[in-house]
Amino acid sequence: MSIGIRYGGIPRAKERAVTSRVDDDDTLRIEWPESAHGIDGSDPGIILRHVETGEECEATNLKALSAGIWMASRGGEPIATDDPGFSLDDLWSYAETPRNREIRAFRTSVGTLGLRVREVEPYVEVIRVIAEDGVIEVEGAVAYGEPIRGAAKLVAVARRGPEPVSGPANFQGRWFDGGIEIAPMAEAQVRRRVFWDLYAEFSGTRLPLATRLDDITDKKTKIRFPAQRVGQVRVRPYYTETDSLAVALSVEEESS
Amino acid sequence: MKISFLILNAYGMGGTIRATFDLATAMSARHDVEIISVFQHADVPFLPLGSQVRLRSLVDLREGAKVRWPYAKRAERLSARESALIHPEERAYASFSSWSDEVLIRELRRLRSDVLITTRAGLNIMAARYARKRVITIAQEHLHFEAHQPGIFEEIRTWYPKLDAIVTLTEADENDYRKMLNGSPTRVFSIGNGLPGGPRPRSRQENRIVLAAGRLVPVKGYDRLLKAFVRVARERPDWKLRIYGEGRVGDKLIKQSVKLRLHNNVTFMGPTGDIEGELAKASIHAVSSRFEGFGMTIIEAFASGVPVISFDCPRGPREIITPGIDGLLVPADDVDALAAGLIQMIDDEEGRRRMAENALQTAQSYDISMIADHWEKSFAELGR
Repeated sequence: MSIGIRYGGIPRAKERAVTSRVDDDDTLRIEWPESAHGIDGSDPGIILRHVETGEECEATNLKALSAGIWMASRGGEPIATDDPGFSLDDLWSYAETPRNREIRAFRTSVGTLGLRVREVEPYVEVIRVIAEDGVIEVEGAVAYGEPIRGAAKLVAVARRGPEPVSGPANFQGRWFDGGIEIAPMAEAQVRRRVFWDLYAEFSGTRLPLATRLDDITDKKTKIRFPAQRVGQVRVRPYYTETDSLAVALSVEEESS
Repeated sequence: MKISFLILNAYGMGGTIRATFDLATAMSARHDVEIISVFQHADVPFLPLGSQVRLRSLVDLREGAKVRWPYAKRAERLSARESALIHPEERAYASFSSWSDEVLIRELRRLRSDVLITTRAGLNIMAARYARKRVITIAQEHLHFEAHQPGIFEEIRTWYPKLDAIVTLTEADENDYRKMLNGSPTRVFSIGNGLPGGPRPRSRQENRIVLAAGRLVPVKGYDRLLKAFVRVARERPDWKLRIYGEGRVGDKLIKQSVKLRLHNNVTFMGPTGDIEGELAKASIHAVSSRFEGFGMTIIEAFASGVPVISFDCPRGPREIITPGIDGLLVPADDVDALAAGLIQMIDDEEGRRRMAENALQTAQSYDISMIADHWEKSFAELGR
């Protein structure tokens, strides 16, 4: 996450954190070089400041933080860190716990420590998408929700027009995999373009499919999936503005 | 010591400007340093420059800019005319005019600095022709030897022997220039670009990410990196490739990536203003270039504790990377070897961690203060 300079000046602090992370139990862990004295987030000297509102609080209880970006400081100086602030494995582990609020530590482009607090709901973090042989297959894992076991459905819901279409899927604890045939979606094509959002459905509850743990924002422009064709209809999965997985069906113009 | 850098336009952004600013800033701790920008089109420079360094320009291109009395009419007339002194094959020829010729000559004949460092072929030739005898003239070549067109190369061959020294980025270029100079007293030094000081984030070698960075242009060879990554994605599917940068073959590469079914493993990240931060999230830096004049991203990767795998292409990578110590070199243009090398580095986690430690050591020798020392040693030799 490259957060711009606007979140704070270049730190003057001589002491730079080696590690600055939010652990699974929502505590801020900060380690300085040879930190025998072990300062951590529970150190009352660490102050968090909300970038938008200017609200300040101690870093002892992260659970009380409101959503937004918080910058960390100690003794009036921004906390400088050499921790890149991203570990996919750590984020996976963090997402194993059901929660409605996600707190991530990150390093700004000027090397200071910030926290990003977001409201979250359970969803399926997409790991792999296969778009071949008339089928779209998705593999992923439950994030921020309870593990699920049993047969499920991969459901495509058109934003406007056709009825939902679904295919077989399966939950094994956190693991999810499912597939959906594209022909029924293409056959329901009523306009030049129809967009379908994808969900994992289990006993009446729909979990959105998205990829949000990998620290890549705006995937829409960065990842392109292969297109398949059903007659004149081109079917291509894509990431939405919120990095959720969707499918675009468009009628191809007759090329003269 | 008074040191003047002469640069085409200090107000834009680019590798030469950045390298010149960093070097000038480092030297300004001990010397009186100025940067003379031939052109100025903005009020302040885009890139950061140390506060001790003075910056001035010769030709003001800003709207409403005034030319000093009594030159206004003359400036207007001559600005419309093409340069008669800069060779048309100089890559920045279009920027120059008869007016900039006149202003440059006047400046060079007047300049009384101890050292004048010029930063591109056209300006190097101007310094050789017009700088005062007492000024030590050093021509810096950011382009590699063979990048010059034949016409301007003839001018280089004619005028560079009048310079006190030529500074190249690589030893390979140093050798080429030495051969060209063939017995003239002009000295040749190779001094790489320096890495600005200051702390950097450090990779923990914990993310299964390979990073590549640079303009999306054919010389960077990303088409071959994508082909190599097909095997990596098949054999180590949880490893991802992130390519930073933009450029004219961007769309072509994305199409190739789709065709190769790499959508689960390769992301085109676009440009970033924080490459060191992104490097530190990765564990391996891959260089697939057909040619690399120096290889600043290799040094940047090292400084963030990221080992580098590179094609053994001319010229920079083999002079920076020590194979098996801080990275790997695989035969140039050999896609299979690149794939095998990537998998080797991926699988040998312990070796990668060791390389990462060594890479940090290597980076230190490119610290801008060390590079400034090399320059000062060359001044001392030239001053004798």
